[in-house]
Amino acid sequence: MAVDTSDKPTGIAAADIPAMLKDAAISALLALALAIPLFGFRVSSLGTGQGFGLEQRWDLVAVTVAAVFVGRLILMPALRAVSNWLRERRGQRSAEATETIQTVLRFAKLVLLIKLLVAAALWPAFPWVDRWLLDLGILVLTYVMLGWGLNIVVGLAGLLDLGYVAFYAVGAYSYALLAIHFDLGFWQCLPLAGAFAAFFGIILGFPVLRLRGDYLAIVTLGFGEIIRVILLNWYEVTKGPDGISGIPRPTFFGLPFKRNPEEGVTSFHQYFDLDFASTHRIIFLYYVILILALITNFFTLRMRKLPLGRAWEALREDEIACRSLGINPRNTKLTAFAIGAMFAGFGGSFFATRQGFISPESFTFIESAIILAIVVLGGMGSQLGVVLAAIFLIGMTEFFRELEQFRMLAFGAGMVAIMVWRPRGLLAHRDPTIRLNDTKRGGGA
Amino acid sequence: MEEGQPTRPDRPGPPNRMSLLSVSGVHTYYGNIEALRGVDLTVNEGEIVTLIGANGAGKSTLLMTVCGNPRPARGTVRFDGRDITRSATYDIIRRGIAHSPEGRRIFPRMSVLENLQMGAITGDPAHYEGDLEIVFDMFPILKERQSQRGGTLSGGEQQMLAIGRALMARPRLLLLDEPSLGLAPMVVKQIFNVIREINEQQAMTIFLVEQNAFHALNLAHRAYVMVNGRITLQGTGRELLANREVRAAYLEGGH
Repeated sequence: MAVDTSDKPTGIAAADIPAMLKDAAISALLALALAIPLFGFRVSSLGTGQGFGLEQRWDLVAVTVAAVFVGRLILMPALRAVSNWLRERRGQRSAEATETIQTVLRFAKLVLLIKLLVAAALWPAFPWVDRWLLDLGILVLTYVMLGWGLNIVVGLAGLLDLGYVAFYAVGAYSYALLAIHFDLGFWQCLPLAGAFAAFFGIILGFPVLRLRGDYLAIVTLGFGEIIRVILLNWYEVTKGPDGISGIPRPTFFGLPFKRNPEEGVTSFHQYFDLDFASTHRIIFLYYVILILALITNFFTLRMRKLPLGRAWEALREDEIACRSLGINPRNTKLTAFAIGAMFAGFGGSFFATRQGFISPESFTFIESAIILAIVVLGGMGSQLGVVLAAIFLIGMTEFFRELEQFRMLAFGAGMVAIMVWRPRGLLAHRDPTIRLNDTKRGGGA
Repeated sequence: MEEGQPTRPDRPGPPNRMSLLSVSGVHTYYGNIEALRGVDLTVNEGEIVTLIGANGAGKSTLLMTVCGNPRPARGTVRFDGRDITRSATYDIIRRGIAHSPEGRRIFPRMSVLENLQMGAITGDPAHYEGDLEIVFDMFPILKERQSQRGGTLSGGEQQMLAIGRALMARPRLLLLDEPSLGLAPMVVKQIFNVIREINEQQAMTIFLVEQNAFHALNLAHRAYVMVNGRITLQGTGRELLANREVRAAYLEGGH
């Protein structure tokens, strides 16, 4: 019976009817089970002073069950027709067509890439971009950068890191403390913060060298918490839960963004002879994070073509095979941790200078989870996927701010939706890093 | 030497060459379990040496011990005159031992070409193109499938890829762990022909671990039989093929 139906994509065969009735009956039964507790009974007032009675509403239940039964009966053929149509269309993609589709997809990806890049570069100049959208852009780019950084560890090297925010925190606190105590500027602190974070990456890396998968995830999760708890309790240095305030703002090559700079200091707007506007600083910050993010991206793309980057990917695929190819797994893992942490450190410094205030509150597990979600939803190892996932997740949560308590519900629903439709991430396709060109392919084959 | 000659079972191995790999008195443990109980064995330059034995005899353990993972508790492993018993795996590999591990272990999400390139990762990039040419000549199918993902290849093709990847490292000694595992008889034949070719054309020294005793003994210059972590028999391939115990334990019934 079931075999028959698959041969007849459209129209309802007589043989289908019992199956359809059965299906509809099951749906109706489910509806009944749900309807009775949901609206089968109602507590009603019997009038003042009379107390409450239980009103039975069987009519409503009956109507619901009937509606579900009939609805399911009508909907099923429609659904089947749609799914058959989709299957047919997929079938038309013959083997030869796959090659063209691949080329078209690659081209479409390139176009999307260029569009995104241009949009990112011109974002502050768009007329509709106000202060809020500019801030949102900075936020999204921060997550894009963190996503790209974590992508090195999780996407390329395959080391599941649930404590990535720890390095972000190390970067932020490094910048804040260095800037306040040693009077260093943002640009001097940036490499130092990156180095500190990388150092912490190695510290985390050593004990977890032999761990993989779930066990690694648990240890990194613990590491993230350890860093946060230290920040919370080491009051003499970190000021604990009070956080560090008065973190210096970035300067434009030594020109501060201030309306009234101190004696002898030229402000940005004075130097360029502009009217003072607070958005100058925001626009500058936007470009700083854009450039930092792009550096992260180009670094990763470059690494993928170098032996070390290859070794990362190979390690993700098969550690035993890596050993038998003469790859040193220890150094390979440590570099992945260190470099991933370094970019988190850069991101952290940026975060500190943008906020002007940091506290352990900003570096909770949820941040790690969001960054990891961006990497996973984007498609592990896909650079463009990270961008799309960051825009989707961060942008969406901001846009749905009006939903208030339902915001996280929308966030969760979005994640579930991606995992249902694209179970391996938005862009799961992995492009090989090398191809032989056609001239070489011709010989001898 | 007589390398071009048609090969019959009694293959006169290149005589009196220097021993390239020598394992002496090696004991290896997995926890409390003694997997190798004092193994002595040599592989001379230019030879194909095979180690046959039943499941769980310790064959793969021996290959892995040569590669330093796990390290032996006692005994020494010498490669090219140097003691490598305590060296790290990556160091041993870089000295010129290529290990094609049990179960092929190619990188499934990487393309065939990338897999081959991974083999050359520790080597001198100057040789890369030429070596690639050699591997593609040996396995034309890999050239055809070069942009396909490794995981989408058939079992036989994956085995070819695993051997090709090992060759890309330009080893002096090639360790092959059960290359016939799970392959159709026709494909097994093909793989063994290729192993012979590699030995004859490139004068590659090959140490082959196999359960498929018939093919392995036919191919090898010399052979060892392992039972429960000990070498119980050794001789030329032909001697062992004719040996009654070997026939009873490993050959009869199977072929």
